[in-house]
Amino acid sequence: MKRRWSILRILIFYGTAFLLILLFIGPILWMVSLSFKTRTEIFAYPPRLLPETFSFANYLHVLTNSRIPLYLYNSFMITVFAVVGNLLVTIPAAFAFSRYRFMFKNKFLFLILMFQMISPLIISIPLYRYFVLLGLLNSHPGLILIYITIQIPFAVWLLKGFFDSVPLELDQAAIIDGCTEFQTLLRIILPISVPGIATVLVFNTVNSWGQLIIPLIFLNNIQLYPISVGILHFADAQTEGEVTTHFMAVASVMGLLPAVVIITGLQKFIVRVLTAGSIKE
Amino acid sequence: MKKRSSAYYTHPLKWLLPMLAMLILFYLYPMIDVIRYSFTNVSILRPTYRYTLDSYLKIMQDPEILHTFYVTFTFVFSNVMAQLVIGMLLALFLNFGIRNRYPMTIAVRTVVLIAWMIPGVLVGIVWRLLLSSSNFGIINYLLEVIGFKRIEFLVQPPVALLSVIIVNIWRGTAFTMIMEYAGLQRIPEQLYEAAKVDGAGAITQFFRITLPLMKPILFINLVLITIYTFNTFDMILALTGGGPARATEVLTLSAYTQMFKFFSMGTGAAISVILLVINMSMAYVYYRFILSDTKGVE
Amino acid sequence: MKKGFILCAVLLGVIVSFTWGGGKKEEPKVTVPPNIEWVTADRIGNPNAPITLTFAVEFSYSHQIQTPSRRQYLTRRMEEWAKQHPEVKLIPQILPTNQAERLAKQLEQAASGTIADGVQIDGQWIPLFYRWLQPLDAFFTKEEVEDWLEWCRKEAMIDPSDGKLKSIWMLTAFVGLWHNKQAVPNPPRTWEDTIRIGKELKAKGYANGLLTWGGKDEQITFGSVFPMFFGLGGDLVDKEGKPIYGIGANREKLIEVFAFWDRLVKEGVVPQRVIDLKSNGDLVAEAAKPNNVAMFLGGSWLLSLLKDNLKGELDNWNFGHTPQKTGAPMQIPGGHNLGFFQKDPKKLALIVDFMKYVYVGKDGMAGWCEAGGYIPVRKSVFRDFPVFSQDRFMKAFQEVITVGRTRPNVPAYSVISEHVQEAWQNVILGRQTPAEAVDAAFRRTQTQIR
Repeated sequence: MKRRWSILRILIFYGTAFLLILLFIGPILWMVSLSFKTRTEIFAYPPRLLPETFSFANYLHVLTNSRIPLYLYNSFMITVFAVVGNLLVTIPAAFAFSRYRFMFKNKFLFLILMFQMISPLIISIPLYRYFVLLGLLNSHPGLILIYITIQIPFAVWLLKGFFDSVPLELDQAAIIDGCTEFQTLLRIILPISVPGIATVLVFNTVNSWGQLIIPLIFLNNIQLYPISVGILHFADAQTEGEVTTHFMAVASVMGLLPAVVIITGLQKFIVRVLTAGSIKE
Repeated sequence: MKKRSSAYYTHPLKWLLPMLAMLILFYLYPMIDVIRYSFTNVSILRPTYRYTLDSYLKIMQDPEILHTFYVTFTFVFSNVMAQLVIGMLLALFLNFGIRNRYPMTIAVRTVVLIAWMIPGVLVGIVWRLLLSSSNFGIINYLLEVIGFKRIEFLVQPPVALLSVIIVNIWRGTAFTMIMEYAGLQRIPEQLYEAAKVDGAGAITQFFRITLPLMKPILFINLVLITIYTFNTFDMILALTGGGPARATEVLTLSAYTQMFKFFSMGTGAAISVILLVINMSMAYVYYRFILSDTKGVE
Repeated sequence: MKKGFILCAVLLGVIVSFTWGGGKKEEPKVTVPPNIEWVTADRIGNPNAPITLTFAVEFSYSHQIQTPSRRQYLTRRMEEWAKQHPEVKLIPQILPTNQAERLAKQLEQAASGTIADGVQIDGQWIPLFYRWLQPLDAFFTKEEVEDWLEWCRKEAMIDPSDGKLKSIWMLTAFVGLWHNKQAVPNPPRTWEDTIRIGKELKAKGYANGLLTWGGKDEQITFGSVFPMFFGLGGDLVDKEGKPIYGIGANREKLIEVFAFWDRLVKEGVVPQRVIDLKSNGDLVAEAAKPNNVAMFLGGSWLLSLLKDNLKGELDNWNFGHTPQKTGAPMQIPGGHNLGFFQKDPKKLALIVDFMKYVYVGKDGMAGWCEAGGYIPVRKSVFRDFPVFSQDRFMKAFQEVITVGRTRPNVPAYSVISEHVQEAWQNVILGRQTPAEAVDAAFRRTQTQIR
């Protein structure tokens, strides 16, 4: 009886898993298939999942004739600086919210959440004029500063939550040992909060990587474009007199590849750390 | 020794300064400008402007404004409910898989995460191609192969709205999944074991142990998904552009239309302020009704 | 703690210097390094040139486009000019593909003085830029200006407030009736004929009688509604630019146009799924599918796409007038213009010369229009280049555009277009009667434009 139940469980599990994988990876696989099709094949009816010829010609074309590698590099640089910059700003702030006591603290926390509600689209035009004044337009530093800012609310909230779960006794022990506040943060709280930091890191990365509206509005020079904007140029509905669906598929695949690699690599780390965290408790 | 007990540190200013600087410079200042604009008739086409309530009046008197609110709220609430439930199910699924060491679990998690990493615009574009009623609409083709009729996903208004909701769920669920998965990890095993000893089944365990302990995470989750969904914009723009016949035009799209098609900053700002107020109200509602206690130094 | 601050400052400093310190090297001598690539993705011309100019065009007008004919032409032409002018370096900018964002960005840039020196601007919107555009009278002789088609000169090229030449029409494009000559030997000119022939086509086994671009976009109004509305003599705005399309005779006329589309759908000629046709690719795909459609309203710019996808089949296709109630011709020509914002006269001369060479000079326009499958707007180009005087399609285009009326170039137009698009979709979907749709749209427009 128990064996039948466990076989059933396994079947249900794998069945569900298979279905989920298909559901989520399906569209992406289809895009990959598109990236290998020729222009006429795209319009062929009935649509076939596998392209007739695995022509790498599309890839060759996009690689040599567009700036995709540059865009990927741009996205990478921007994201790295934005994520690191964000952590540098939010870790101290979360520390303050967790370990300090001051007037209006809770109201302040809620206020920060209010900023989360402001989507970049809303502030884009005033920000544009403002940046022109500051000379930050059409530059990566300007972009990075905005990215850092829009990630602050979420990061602070999450980090505070993780810091809160570090017992105060550890802090007190550290102080007795003669640590300053900074050393307490560095040596005690941060190591324990690695799951939280990792989570914030992942979110920030995804968010920065996927930003589209801001770089579209703030950047003029093609050399500065991140990959999200670069792909847009190939989007079919928008390019007059040209069908570029297959090239867009190529650009999208190339744009996703680093993300996929990062996620696959990073998530093992997160998991190890998340599960390790629970054991500690 | 006693002096360090609960009144921990004070004077947090130096820790908060960088964050405050960024928030004020790049968020607060433009936001104040937006609020200011909403009380004017600023337009990209005119160098001068005057203060007026016209922008708000134009929006509230628009015969179609109720429709826009309806679409927005339907979109947000369906998404939030669905994503929370599906996200939780996925988190439990993952938890189960990891604990029993089933290999495909990691694949599932990776795949869901990848869907989430795709920039919104791309999601819209790809799904528009998938759902197309033309030649290359592969989903319709598959439907025909199975024996169903073709569905014009993006043609009939109610179906279009549903399609947009589903695509957004497809895209966004990973967020809830990770948050709740992380939360699940923090619940000590012993609690479950103790419950099993007491004779509690899986469902009782879920409702009595898991849910209550996940409250803080669920709260943050709920607030954040609501906010994100209210602000969703580029995915919808790419998928339907707000059509057909405005069946999928959410408030953010209206704001976009005002700002970039009509060049009216005043009305665009007014819609943005309305959006902001709605967001704040939702967050407050959640705060009052869901979160009864917060952790940390009070 | 202090270490924290220092770390922050250092990091920020690194970020800033990394990107700002990056590439500002400008040498004052005019030497050309050997073996350079004259045309790259982010620079055209001598990398050591003392003068730097910027120009902005959309992606499909830039040398980044994939289509071989366009790319080759542009690259060759740009390289030729660059070699003749080693003292100039040009930085290309690509305009946002989305029309709305493009215009908004261009306006913001023009107002803040950050706009490129030479810019491609949609002809309809040039009047919005008059106050920033530099006069070009010094660079075009009177004969040259007269070479442009009459309606071009009337619209947008000359600023009415000071009589100066402010922009140059690059080319024109418009929507017409693409039809398969085999199946439709006599393309319908009247509404009645359209319905009749559409039904015949369906009886013959075609899946669709008539198709058109139905996805929410300017092209609904530009191609499917306003040409017919203008054909009936309707006016969208009055002399001051206030919307009047929902009042009196204009209202009746717009209702008539909608009623025509309503009939098309109800009689089975036009399927509701036209709403799903949202891109050039969609229309072309429909045309390429066998036994699918024999006539559709599509842009003249589809020519090169149809050439690529229909290949030999294209011989069977032709381009005709948009059906009008009485059959009298009326089209709406659109197109793009070039405008210049560089204030320094010497630099202005250079950038004008460059874009003239590539896009709008006699040879430039001929070359570019041929490469892109566009319709030139200079009489001499039509006359002196066999590609245009002999080509079947070019002749068809010229025939169709004999009677044209452009869209009103007032800001209210985008509001009107937006509301009418939605109204049209509601009629196609059967959610509103033509009268209801027009009234609802006009009510919205009146709320927006006070």
